[in-house]
Amino acid sequence: MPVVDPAAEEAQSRAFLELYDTALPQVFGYLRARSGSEPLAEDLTTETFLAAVRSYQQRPGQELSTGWVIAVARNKLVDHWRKVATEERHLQLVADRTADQQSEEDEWIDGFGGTEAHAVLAGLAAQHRLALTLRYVDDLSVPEVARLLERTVQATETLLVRARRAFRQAYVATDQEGGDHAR
Amino acid sequence: MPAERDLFERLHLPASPVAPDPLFASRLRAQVAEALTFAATDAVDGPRPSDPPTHVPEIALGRRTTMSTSTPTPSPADSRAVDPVQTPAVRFENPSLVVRGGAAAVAFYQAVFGATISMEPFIEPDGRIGHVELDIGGAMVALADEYPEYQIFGPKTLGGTPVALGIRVPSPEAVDALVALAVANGAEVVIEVKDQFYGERAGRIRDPWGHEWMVHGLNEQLTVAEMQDRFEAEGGGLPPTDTE
Repeated sequence: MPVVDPAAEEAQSRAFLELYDTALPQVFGYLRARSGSEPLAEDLTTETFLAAVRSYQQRPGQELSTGWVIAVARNKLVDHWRKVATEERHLQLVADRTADQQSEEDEWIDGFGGTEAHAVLAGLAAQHRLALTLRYVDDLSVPEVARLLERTVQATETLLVRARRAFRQAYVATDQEGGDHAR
Repeated sequence: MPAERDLFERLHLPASPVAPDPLFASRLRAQVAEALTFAATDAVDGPRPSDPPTHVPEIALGRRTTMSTSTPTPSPADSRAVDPVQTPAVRFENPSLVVRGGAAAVAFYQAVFGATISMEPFIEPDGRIGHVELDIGGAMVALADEYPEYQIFGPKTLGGTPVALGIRVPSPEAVDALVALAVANGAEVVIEVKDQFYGERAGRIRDPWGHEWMVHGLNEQLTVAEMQDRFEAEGGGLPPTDTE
């Protein structure tokens, strides 16, 4: 039987719930702006905090900070879009489908990312959306993106080149539609 | 179309906190608080599927292996996108007793064990107790009437029980007192109260609904080696009166 110190466990739980209260709007805001969907942001927020609890229980000494929970949230976002990317591959969707082909569930809601560019990003295939989000929306370095995607730096650079190309094509296509996203 | 660099730089979003729906926030808070009550050793998975757990209990590994043989192994290309099967943390919650005659059984447990009702009974239109929660000495015990239509039967119908529920009292003398009280309320003695080789005074009763209770009171704290010695000194087996 492991030695359990109820007082220490209670203090740890209290500390974590305090972090929950401060980090929740940050985490939800992060996921909402990047996922473009309120229900999806709620699901990922739930997954994020429950995963953070498990991680904290395994390593109780670790520092509790909003930045750490955001990193967990980023992992959840990566996992989600990878799953979507796999589904897209299985459905044999074209990898670089454009904004006008986007499905209803991906529909961009005004005010999440804010700009026309974010609306275009939301319409890209999941793999491209993921790579560009990590590199540009989150402003991570290429090696950091590579680590999150579990790819080599070189493979990540190749992916980013393709993603940027898909983005530019979608952006031009949206422009030609009459720029109804523009503001 | 803006210049290339501008276009991608414009994608950057600074931290922008947004308060979620208050109902969602409070429900998730309760979920987090509940998850925190599970001991650290119960946790088997971390925040990241690719991040191997530092410690996985043997039982979880065993179960995972069993499950993976019955499901097709994903190809390496897919495996990163597939959530690994994780054994969730578990905590033992409560025994659920089935009895023929729920209301009388509740009265017996109140009279003998000092049970209190921690959740009021759910009563069927036909009078059967569908579910009631008792607090017996700090542990939750659920109780329900028999439901033959769901194959749910009590020990009287089944002809016995293989399970004994353990009750601890503060002294050896209290073991005798509690067993006497149970007998006065209709229980039968299965194993006579005696000083056992393991340092406790203990006896086993069968209540009027067929459930069995082992009542323990500490005589002396013994090590397992001392228990073993006494067990062998007693002849290496239980006396005939202790077997049923």
